[in-house]
Amino acid sequence: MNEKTYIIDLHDFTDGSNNPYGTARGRKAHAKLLEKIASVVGIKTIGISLKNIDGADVSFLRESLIFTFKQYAKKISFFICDLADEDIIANLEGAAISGDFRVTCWIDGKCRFVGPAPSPASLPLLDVVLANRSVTTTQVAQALEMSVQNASTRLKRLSEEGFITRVEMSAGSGGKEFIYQVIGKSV
Amino acid sequence: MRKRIAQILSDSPGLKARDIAKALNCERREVTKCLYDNLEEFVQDENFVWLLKKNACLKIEFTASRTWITQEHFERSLVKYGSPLDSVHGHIILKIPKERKVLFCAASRILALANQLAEVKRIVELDFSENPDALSYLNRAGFFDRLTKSIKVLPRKPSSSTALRHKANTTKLVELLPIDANSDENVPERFKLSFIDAFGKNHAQKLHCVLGELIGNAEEHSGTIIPGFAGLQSYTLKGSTSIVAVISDSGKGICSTLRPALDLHFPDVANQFPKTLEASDAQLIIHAMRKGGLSSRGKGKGGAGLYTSSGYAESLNAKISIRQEDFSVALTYKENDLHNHSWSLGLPRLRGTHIVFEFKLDK
Repeated sequence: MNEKTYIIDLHDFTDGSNNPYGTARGRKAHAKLLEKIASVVGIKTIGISLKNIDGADVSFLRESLIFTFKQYAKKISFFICDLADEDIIANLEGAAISGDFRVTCWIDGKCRFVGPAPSPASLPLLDVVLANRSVTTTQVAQALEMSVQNASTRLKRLSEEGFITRVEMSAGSGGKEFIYQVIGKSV
Repeated sequence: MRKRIAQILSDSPGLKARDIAKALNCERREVTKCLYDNLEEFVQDENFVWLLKKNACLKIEFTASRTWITQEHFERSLVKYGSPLDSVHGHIILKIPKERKVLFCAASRILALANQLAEVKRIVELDFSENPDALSYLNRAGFFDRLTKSIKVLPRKPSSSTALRHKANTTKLVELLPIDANSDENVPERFKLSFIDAFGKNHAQKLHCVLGELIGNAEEHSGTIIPGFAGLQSYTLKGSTSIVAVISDSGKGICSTLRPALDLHFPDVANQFPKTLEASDAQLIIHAMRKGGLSSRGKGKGGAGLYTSSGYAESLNAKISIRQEDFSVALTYKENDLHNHSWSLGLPRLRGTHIVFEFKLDK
């Protein structure tokens, strides 16, 4: 349950630039990131820190980060932290939309998502997970007064869409149950 | 007779019709008729002598009724003389008239045109002999550092580049810098830092993103051996400061890059803007800016550059003009929305993509 979280500083992959840009340079950073991630064994969650990035355009963020996340989808969960300002968040949003992928961002201790929005029907369930950080299907069903089966279907979809992660755990009753968690944390 | 006249003018350029007639032992009026019937091959200069066009000189003067030569004046001169890229003249003179100042966006087009002419082996001269101030200003802007070496400058090319000497040493002007994906220089970052030095952090991030996207596009898609370039300058007119950024490449153009992918990945868009319709290329660019997502690599793989630029243009109430090989589009944003858009078709040929992004700073 207490997965080790590994943090990567994006600045280490930008040839020293605080303001990386463009598709070509994004691809270069992407290749270096893939190499780095391949060298990290047994890590299920990786945080990308933008603490040394002052600005980056949509194309760079898409090529370097979103396409890396896509490549490792279902194997490693990623989140982004230490975002400088709203402009770079807006560009991350553009990159995630352009790359059609959802990404979790931690900003001042709060969790936000960029990329395609969740369906209105799934939103209340996502809010419950966000408020509790880690919940079972039953807890969500109880909080929203809905059937466990209905909650299970929607939570599974949210995890498939990349908003949250799903971890199988042993239930107190002796069986198995799924825990749904937000990805990463504020660092 | 045409071939014989061509041979005579090749051996002895600059003959009057009567001299050609004498050499051919025929009537002068026959020669004159043949010369005028073949004006695509022969040309008469201001001294009334005839030349083979490939050996003749075409002089294009970028005139302006007011102080500044703008991109519109550049285009008007090209309409008046025709694109020298389509002319058979082997020698092209691009003249900057006296007492005129060259606006950054016009200078960048003159530079692109001169380099393109040099690439197709024309003899090119840039004539500043009546306007030493413009030569000095453009030297400071790095114009001559981006100019193909074989191009002659009149009265003479500056012996040293003041742009290189003062690089990054002024807050009001940023030189024309080369666009090169393999270069260590981060051009958008350089513009951003200069902008912050001059005007503070407000808008700097937006400017960086716009330039990053547009310069990144040129790096990736233009596919040209003539290096592209980008420049930034601020102007203060009537107490209002304007920022003008130019991004110019001599490559394939936006539609040539996008169209092959439309049939494959975006058939609806291909149907909406069929190439057979007159203004469809211009409309396709406007669509790409407003809707986004169109990429030569397919869905979900790009198409953010023009769209993001349009989004930032909206928030900066900017103007964008995009000049393609034979047309241009212009978009004006007001009150954080697209106020109007227009296009001009049938422009004289200038290869590549030439973008001007302009916005006013708040007072």
